[in-house]
Amino acid sequence: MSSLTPEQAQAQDDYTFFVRQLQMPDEAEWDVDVEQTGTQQSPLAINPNGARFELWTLKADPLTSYLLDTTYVNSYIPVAEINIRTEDPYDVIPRTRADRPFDVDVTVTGLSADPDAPDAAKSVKLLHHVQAYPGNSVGDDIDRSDATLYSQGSLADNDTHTLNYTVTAIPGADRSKVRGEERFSVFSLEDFQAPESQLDSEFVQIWPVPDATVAGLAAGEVITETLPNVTVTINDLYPDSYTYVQIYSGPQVLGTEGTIIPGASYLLDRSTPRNRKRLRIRNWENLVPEDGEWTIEVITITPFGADRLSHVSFTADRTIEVRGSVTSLE
Amino acid sequence: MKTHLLTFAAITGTMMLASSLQSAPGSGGTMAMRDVATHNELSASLRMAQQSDPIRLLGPPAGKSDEDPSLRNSSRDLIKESTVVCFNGSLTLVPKRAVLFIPEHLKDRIGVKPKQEVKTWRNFLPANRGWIRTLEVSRDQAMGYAPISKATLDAMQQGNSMIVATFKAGPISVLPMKTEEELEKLAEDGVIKAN
Repeated sequence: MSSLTPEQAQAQDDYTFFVRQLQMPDEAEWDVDVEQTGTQQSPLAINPNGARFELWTLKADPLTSYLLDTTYVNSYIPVAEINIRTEDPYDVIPRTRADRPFDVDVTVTGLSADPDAPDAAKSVKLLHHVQAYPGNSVGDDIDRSDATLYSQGSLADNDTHTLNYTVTAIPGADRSKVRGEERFSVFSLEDFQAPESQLDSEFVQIWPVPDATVAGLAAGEVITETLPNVTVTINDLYPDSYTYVQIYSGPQVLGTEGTIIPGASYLLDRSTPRNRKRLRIRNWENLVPEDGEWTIEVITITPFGADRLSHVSFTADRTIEVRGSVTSLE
Repeated sequence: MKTHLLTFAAITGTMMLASSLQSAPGSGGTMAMRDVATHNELSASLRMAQQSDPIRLLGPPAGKSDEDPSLRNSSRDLIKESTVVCFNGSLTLVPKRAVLFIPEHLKDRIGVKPKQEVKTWRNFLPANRGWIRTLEVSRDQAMGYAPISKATLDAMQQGNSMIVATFKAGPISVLPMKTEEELEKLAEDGVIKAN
């Protein structure tokens, strides 16, 4: 039995998993009778042409199927396993942000060193596809046949190959706003028994870098009366992130810990980004007890650390100075 | 703030936040922080990365490189490749050609209906044994290498139940019986034993 492991089953109770075995060459299909978690050997003997195992998950309303993993097995076909590592510990689907690196481990075993062995037994093909999600979507309804084949190469030794990617290659005009997925696949070579067949495949989801704008308060503004109402708009909040607005006395200095403005923080508790969130700052006089220069900053905390999204420094000058003199007439 | 921090740490399963905040906010201390990455910075990073793409550095691929083999299966949809069975608020899938017979009065139970709970075959079948019968077939019968007996076919077509082909309890498609010529070719290729 191939190693299709529906780890997601433990985290996603509203999904139902199916393992389908397709016998080559006619692709007779069989739903393997399995528990939602666990492993077992396939009782359906593999044809000489091999078999493909597909791990699917189904979601109701609307009924939607997702192909999570596929594995092709045959008598002399090598075995490949792909593991994508990011800085985000979320384990349902590998994910990271458009500015962050990730690594891909490709382990190949079972390649033959016999020079007389068929080509399909001596090397495998490695493919890298990239695909942008349209608009602000999260990839629910994309057609993966539209993905772009970004690069391809061959592996001819039994080893674990680690590929380092410093930044995403998903197409997009604004590199900080790219969202989509990068898919890595290992295929066997075509031979007389079977076409090129997928041995393993895994993808990483890439989410955009957030940004923030501060409205109601301009950089360098001198405030002589009541502090104005301020609206902070944050776009593309990363999944499971915590974002807040802080204030401190003095000019902006990256890395300063200020006071978090009450009511101006947001915890995003979900597995996909949030497109937009507004935080409103009202009645914040008590946070600026003294006149002078002050700075407010928008900070987001993610598995990648703390990022400053925006900062505005202003001057409070609310002390009333009376220029006059008292005289008396005698 | 502390409540938020604890919740966040629990969600991500990391202590990243704890390590990035080296002292309590508002203390006037410092914390590890960077300005958010910009388009220009990331464009420069991508240009550098493209010059040392780790897969392109492997050299040209063996075999065919003008076709994308992933396109072969990328358009597959399990729902389209299956027969959907719905009844009494539950739904399951079986491979196409797994339903060998369905009487007229049960045909409205085939197809997608809204607001159904998706169940695996093993969870769907027990509650529906009153109208679904299974016919355990051999591997050769499923592959179209051996026929299902006429007596069996006649018997199931006279019943009032839907008949689903199974192999080791899992629903399986039953391909049309191969012709004599096809069977001979399969025997030559060693796929099946010669008679």
